[in-house]
Amino acid sequence: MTPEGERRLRSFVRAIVEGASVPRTDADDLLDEMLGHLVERVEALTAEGATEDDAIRTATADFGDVGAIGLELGRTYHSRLWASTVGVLLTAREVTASRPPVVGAIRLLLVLHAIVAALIGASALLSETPVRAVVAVAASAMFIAAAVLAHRALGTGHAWALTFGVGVAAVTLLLGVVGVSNAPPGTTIIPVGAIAGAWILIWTARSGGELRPFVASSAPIGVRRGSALAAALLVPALIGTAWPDLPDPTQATAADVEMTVAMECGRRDLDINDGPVFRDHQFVALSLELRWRRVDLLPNGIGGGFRGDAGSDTAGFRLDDPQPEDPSADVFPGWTLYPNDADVHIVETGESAGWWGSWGPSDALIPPTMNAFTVATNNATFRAGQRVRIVWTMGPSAQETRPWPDAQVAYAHLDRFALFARVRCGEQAAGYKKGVPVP
Amino acid sequence: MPGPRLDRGEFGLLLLALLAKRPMYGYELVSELRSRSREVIDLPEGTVYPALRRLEREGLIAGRWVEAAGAPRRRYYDITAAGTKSLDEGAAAWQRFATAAGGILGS
Repeated sequence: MTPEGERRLRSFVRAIVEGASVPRTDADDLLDEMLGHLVERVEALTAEGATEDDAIRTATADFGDVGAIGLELGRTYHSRLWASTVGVLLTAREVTASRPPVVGAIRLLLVLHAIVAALIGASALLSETPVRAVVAVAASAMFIAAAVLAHRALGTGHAWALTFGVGVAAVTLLLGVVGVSNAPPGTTIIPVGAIAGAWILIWTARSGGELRPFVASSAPIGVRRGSALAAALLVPALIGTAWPDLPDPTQATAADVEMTVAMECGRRDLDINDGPVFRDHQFVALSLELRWRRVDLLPNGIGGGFRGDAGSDTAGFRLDDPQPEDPSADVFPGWTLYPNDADVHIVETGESAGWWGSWGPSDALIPPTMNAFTVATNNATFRAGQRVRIVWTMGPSAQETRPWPDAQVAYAHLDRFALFARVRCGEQAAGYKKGVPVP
Repeated sequence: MPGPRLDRGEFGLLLLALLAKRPMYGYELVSELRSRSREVIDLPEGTVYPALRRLEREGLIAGRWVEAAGAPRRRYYDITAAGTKSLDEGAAAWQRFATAAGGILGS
């Protein structure tokens, strides 16, 4: 047999073995065994007078359909589920037409997207809340599996893989356009993905003449498998756009926290840390109490759990002074903290639960007019059913007696919601979510 | 109406029956199957390899490579004790089925 003849036979059996995803330990043996069969058959036919070319054609035709034998082999080595899914998507094919260059570009796009999806999934797993992390990882895994299968199937000219690759390019282009159109004014974005997607779509359209023979006679994959692949492509893209509104039932909502604000007004001794004591001084004690019915589960993801970081909330207030200082003059505020620190603790245990001075995303939810003496909480100290109490004690900045003020208090939980309350001396008020005032 | 078709189990049973006579390799098995069935059983030749792999993984046959002078090496298969037992049971069940079917079709 000529080397060319053997090359043709080897290519034929390799298509079967690769299509069936035969384990490496068996692949070479199986390839040798089937190749030996075909060589013997070709030699028998040539001995009967056939040309080598005719003998190869007869031998391979009698051997059977590459896809059918590959599928049967796949059933031998893999589960029934594998055979009905991956086995069909990667049905063995012997491609005789040359591979158009655009196929390489589409396969590269698939690899890059699979890598990006893996990074997004890993990042979400570490930083997102449990349900959102699971959703992100599942969507990423679904896309990666489909992209890896399409990458492999496109190498052997499967039409479905070409369609999937073109779909990825189209979605990339679309998301890039949406990203650019939603960019804040003045922001310059270079949509590299969209440019690559558009380039591949144009190249694919111009390569139609080469692509058609390359994917010709590839077996259909069925409506259910096609729908699953479409979902693997579209679900991650849709989840990405819906991500900000995706709820997570493992996280507390505004309905899970009971906020009570009280303001006590009167006279008592006040002192400043390491400073003088003011005897029988006018004071206002503004108390904010929060009772969490349930607390967030891993609010900063697994990564936050390892770091012991449950995030930080912000509490702030504004005193509405009936006789404000002249705002145009550079004067000291009418009321100031005595001592110059807020008290933040868990009522049931006495454990310290925060400090003066806020930070983090919750700070951004507090209106600028209510950010006097803001307090940051250490949410790792929060327990379901326990109360967090924040107390600001204030006295007039100057010695003279001042009229009693009203107070507005704001409390923001992470970057998720803010609660507000308004209170007067001797009163107690419940917090309400902004836009939904308590009647 | 289409003619009767071999399913995987029956095809495996025929291979076991042939290997019970003597060890054979794939090409030889296909030729034997064709000639002994007077070419009634004429499956695509490649289908013998998934069947052989399945029987081997089930422990019913055992394969071994034999070098051949001036030709590609050949993988011969021997029936195992489990294969012999499976053949006996399968053949008996098949005979009962064939007798029953013959009784109906013959009448």
